[in-house]
Amino acid sequence: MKHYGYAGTVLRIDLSNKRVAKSELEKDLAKGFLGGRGFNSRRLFDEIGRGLDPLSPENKLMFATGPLVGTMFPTACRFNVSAKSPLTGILGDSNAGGHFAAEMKYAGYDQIIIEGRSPKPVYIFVDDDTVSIEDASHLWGRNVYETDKILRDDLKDNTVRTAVVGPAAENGVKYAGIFADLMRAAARTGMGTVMASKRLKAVVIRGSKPVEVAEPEQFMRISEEIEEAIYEHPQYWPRVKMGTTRILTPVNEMGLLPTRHFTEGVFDHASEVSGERLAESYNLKSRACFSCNIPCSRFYAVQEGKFAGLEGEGPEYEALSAFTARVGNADLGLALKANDTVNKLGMDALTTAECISWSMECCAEGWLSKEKADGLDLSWGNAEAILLLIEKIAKREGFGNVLADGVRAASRSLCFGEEVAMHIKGLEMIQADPRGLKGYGLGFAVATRGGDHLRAEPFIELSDDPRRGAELFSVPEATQRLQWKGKGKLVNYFENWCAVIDALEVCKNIAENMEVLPFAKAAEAISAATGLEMDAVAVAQVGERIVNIERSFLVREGITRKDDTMPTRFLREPLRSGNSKGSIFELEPMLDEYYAERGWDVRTGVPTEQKLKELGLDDVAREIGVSESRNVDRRASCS
Amino acid sequence: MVGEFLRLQSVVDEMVRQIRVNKDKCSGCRYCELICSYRESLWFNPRDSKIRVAKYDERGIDEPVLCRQCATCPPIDVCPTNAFQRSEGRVVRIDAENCTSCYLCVDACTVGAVFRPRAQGLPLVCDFCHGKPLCVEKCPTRALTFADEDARFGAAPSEPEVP
Repeated sequence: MKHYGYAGTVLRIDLSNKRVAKSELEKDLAKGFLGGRGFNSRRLFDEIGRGLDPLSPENKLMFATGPLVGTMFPTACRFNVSAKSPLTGILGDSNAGGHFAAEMKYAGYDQIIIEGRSPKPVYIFVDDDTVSIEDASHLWGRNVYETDKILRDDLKDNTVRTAVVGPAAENGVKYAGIFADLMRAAARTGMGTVMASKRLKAVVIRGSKPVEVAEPEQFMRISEEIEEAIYEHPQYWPRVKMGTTRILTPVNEMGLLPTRHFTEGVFDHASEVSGERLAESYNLKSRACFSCNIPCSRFYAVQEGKFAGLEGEGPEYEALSAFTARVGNADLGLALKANDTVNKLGMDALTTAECISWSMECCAEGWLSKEKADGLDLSWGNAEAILLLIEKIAKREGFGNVLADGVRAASRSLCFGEEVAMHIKGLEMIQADPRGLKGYGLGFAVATRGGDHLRAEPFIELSDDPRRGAELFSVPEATQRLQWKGKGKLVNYFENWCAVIDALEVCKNIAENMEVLPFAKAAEAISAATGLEMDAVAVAQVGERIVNIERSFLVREGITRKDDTMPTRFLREPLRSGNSKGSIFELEPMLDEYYAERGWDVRTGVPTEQKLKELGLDDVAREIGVSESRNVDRRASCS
Repeated sequence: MVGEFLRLQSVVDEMVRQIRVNKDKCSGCRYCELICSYRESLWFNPRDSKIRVAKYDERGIDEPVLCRQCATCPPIDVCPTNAFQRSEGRVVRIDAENCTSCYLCVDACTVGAVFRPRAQGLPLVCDFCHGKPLCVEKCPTRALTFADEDARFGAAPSEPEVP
C-alpha cells in the first residue's frame, strides 16, 4: 500500500538472535496516535507489562518519528525514543532534533523497535532496506564524539546519521542519554542506559528514498504560511541570537531562577551567565536542525581563560542555568566546559546538575561529610569539584557511583536529604521554580515522564496576561503565573497540544512557544501530508488519547494521585526574595481541577472507563482494571 | 508556486548568474536540498538534490556545495560523449541523449558539485532553475545570494537590535 507522509514501515530488530523483521505501519495506529511519541506510547503500553525490569533484555527501545518529518515543513525533524525508564521505573521517553529522524524516514521507517540483548557490543547500520548488526567492540568505551567519528570513518561516508551512547551509558549510569548528530540529546529518563544495556552502541542510518505527501501544492502552501509566520514573529530574532538561553534573564527577574539548588529564586550573578552574555562573548555561528528556518542553536568557541580552545554547540537554557545558578557558579566558561563534558560522556545535563547541586546543599547543611564525598570540597560553585564529580558519576567511581542512580536513589541509600531531593516520580526537576509559575508546576507534578516541563510547556503563562486566560479558558487567572485557579484547564490543554506536537515530531518552539501551529493548522498540515482527513477536534483528541494511554501505563505501574506531588520545599517554604517572594505551590486544589478537567477520578487520579472509552481505548480500560465490574482501584493494595 | 514558476520559465532566464555561498552564514538546515528535490519531482529527497550541504558538526561547519560556474570546467573536458556542455553565456547542462552515465564528470568536478543520482540516470548538476534559483529564495539565513545582485528577491534583511 502506498503511504503519504509516513514511510509506511515499522522495523523490529531483536539483538538476542539478530532477527530483523519489517511490517507495514498499521493504519489504526497512524490515525489514532499520529506518530512519534504517540506510536511509542501505544506500543509500550501494549508490549511492556507491569513490573518489568527496565534493564532486562525484555525492555524495548523504540525510536519513532512523525508524518511531517523529511518534508519541508518548518521544524519537522524530531524523533522520540522511548522504553521503560531505569531511572524512574515508569514511562521513559525523550525527544531530540537534528538530522537523524529525517534520515530514518528516507531509509523508509516510521518506527524502529529494538528488543533483546546482544551478547557482545554491536551497532546497527540501517542502509535503506538493508539492516545489519555490526561489531562495536572497537567503539565500546569511546565517548560520543569519538564514536561518531570512527563510525563515519569506518563506513567511509560523512552523510550517515548517527545516534550513539557514551561511556556513562555503558557504565550503567541511570540517566544516560542518546546523542544524535553529536549534540542533539535525547537525554531525559535514561534511554541511553537502556540502549547500552542491550549492548547497542549506536544506530547509524543512511536513507535515499523520497518522502511523498498526498497533496504537494496544498502542503507547500501550508508550510510556507507557517514559515512566514515564523519569520514575522517577534520571538524570531531573539531565538536566532540566543536560542532558549534568552529566558535566563527574565526567569531571574521573576525570581524563579533555581539558585543554589532551589534555595533561592534570584541569582546575583545572572547577568554574567545570561543568554545575552553568552551570545556576545562566545557565539560564532547560528546552526539549525533539519528543515528549520529558525537557526537557534549556536556554535561557540572559548577564546581565553582556563577553558580556551573549547568549542561546541549550545548550551540551551536548561544546561546553562543548571551549571550556573543551580550549582552556584558564576563562570560561564565553566558552565560550557561542564555541559561539553556531560555531552561527550553521554549523560542528562539536568539530572547531573541536580545530583551535584543536591550534594552541595547536603554539604552546606552538614549532612554530607567531605570523607563521604571522596574528599571533594563541595562548596557552591567549586569548579574543580563540579568537573571531577561529572567524571566520577560517568565512571561510577566512589561518590559518583552513589549519584549515578539519580537523586532519589542517592538520597535513599545515604539516608539523608530525601526531602530536598528535587525530583518528581524519580525524574530530576528542571530549572524553573514552580512556586512562581504555577501552570508549569502543575505540569511537572502530573507529567507522564516525571519532573519535566516539556509534557505541558504552558508558555503562555510567562505572559502573565489575564486576557489570554479569559479568552482561552474563561478563567483570567489561568494565565497569571502566581494564581492557582484555572491551571487544571491550562495544563490539560497544553498537555494535549504537546502530545500532538511530539507525535508530529515538530519543534515545540513553533507550537507552545511561538503559537504559530494551533490544532487547526496542524490538522490542515496532517491532511495535506498524509491524506487522512482530520480536523482540529480530531487532532486535539489524538493528544488527549496519548496523554491517557501514558497515564494508564503509569497507573498499571502503581502510580496514583499520591505520586502527583513535588518536593516539600515548594509546598511549604515560601520563596524568600525576588518578584515571586512569599509564594508557595498550592498543589491539592490544582490537582482537583486538573483531574476533573481530564475526566479522571479526582480521588485517585486514575482515568475513568468513560473517558478511555470516549477515546476508543476500551482495551486500555480493561487492562488497567477500571472497566465495568472491575471498577476498583487495583493500585490501592500495592501502595 | 512551483507550477507557476515552471510555466514562466524561458530560455532567456538561462543566463549565467553566479550564486554566492557564504558558509559562515549557512545554518545547515538543508532547506536548499529540500526545495531542489521538490521542484524536480514534487517530493522530498535530499539525495535527488543538485545542491548539498556538507556538514562537519564537530567544527560547526556547514557548506552548501553547488555548481560555481567555474571559468574552466573539468567535467566538460572529461566527458567522452560531449554530453556535458556549456554554450557561451549559459549555465552548464547535460545532454540526455548523449550521456552514457559513466559519471566521469562526478569525479572530475573540482568543487564536488556534480552528484551521482540514486539510480542509474543523468548526473545531477545545478541548472540554476533557469535563472530563478529556489534555493536562493528559500535560504533562511541568506547564505545563498546572487553575486551580481542581492536584491532579486528583496535585499537581505538587516538584523534588528534585540531589545
